[in-house]
Amino acid sequence: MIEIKNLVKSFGKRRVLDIEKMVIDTMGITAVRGENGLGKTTLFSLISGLEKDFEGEILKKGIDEKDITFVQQDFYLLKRTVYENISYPLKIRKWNNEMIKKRVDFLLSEFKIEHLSDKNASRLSSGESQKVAIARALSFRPKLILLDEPTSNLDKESTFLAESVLSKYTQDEKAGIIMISHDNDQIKRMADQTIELKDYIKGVN
Amino acid sequence: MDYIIQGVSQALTLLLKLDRELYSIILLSILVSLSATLIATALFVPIGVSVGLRKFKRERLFEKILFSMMGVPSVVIGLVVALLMSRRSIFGFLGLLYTPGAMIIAQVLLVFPLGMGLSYKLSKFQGRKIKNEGKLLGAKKKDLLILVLKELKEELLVIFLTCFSRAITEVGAVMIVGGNIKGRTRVMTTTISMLNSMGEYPMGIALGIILMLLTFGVNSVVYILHKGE
Repeated sequence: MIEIKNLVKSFGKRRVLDIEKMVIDTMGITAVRGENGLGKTTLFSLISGLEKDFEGEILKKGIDEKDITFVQQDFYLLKRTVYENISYPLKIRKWNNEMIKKRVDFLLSEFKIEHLSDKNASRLSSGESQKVAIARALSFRPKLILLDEPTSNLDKESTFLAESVLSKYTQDEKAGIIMISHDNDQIKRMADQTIELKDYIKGVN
Repeated sequence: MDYIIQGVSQALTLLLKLDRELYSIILLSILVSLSATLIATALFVPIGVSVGLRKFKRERLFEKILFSMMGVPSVVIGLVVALLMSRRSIFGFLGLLYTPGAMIIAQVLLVFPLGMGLSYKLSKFQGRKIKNEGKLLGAKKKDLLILVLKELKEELLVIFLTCFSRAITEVGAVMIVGGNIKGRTRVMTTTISMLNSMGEYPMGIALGIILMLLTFGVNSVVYILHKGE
């Protein structure tokens, strides 16, 4: 569970986020909705630990920061092959080559991108890149995954595939997903609960 | 017009005959500029990249100063180094003035701000993005710097080549601190400048051709690397 208390985030003199209290369940899938500029991405940067300069408290109960990952909307793929991208988090965690291969092969197959394994990530289409970014985030079995519009570059078929892989992941790994989505149908299909960010932002209501 | 055609033909003869004086000038030019660029790179890559990865107070002021330094004229650098290295000055005891050593120092000071500015900017915009992605994937501090350097190696090579190009084509600094002494500190640019004022064109044209080929070669590599991104 993530408990937020009196959270204020400012960039210079500009206050971009002000939440008095918010609780997010970290089991299952939670969708976060809100208009552009409301602070959704900033909130995710704070929860993921990417941004550490803020006032207030973000309590991550039962989750270690190293078990949280965040697939940003403008994610960065390493200038290496797809296989090397997905295996990177495992290599730095000192997994052995056999375990790495098994895990990467499994994810390539889940996302139906086995044929891209040896392709350099800089040569992928935006949809293929997005699948690789999600697969890479799942590789080290994080307990909480934050996703910022995870299917924005995917066609319908790939969107359904990614949704099904992500849902299955939360069940198999007993993990949670918090995702930003503007697609109401997707939220209906995937989310166990929905958070309307404007209900929590001070001064909006 | 005849003297130009004659000059070009004599220049080609000098090049093909492997004229000793000509090639010793070319070799010294490459040695001085390559050493200076390598030393400067060893300094500006770690400093530029690690400063670029951090957010800090007075970032804008730092950038303003850094970017202004990138355009310091080479004669000013030459003058400063000559003043510091002259016999009466603090580094006079080293006896480096009018030696290739002084020329290397001057070129290090010339290309360092350029390389520092470019690598800082690269690190600030691309490096921070890579660093953030690495953090989210679980990379530790030590892994992060390695990751950033590995991911930016092509861009850093382009910066290295840009600095080498700047060093080998400059004339002001090496002329002042090297003195264009025959057989000791005479490099391509200072020789071309001297021969032009003397009206002796063949060797000047030959050196000009080599200098053009060198910069063309370096810029082609830069272009290929950019295209490959």
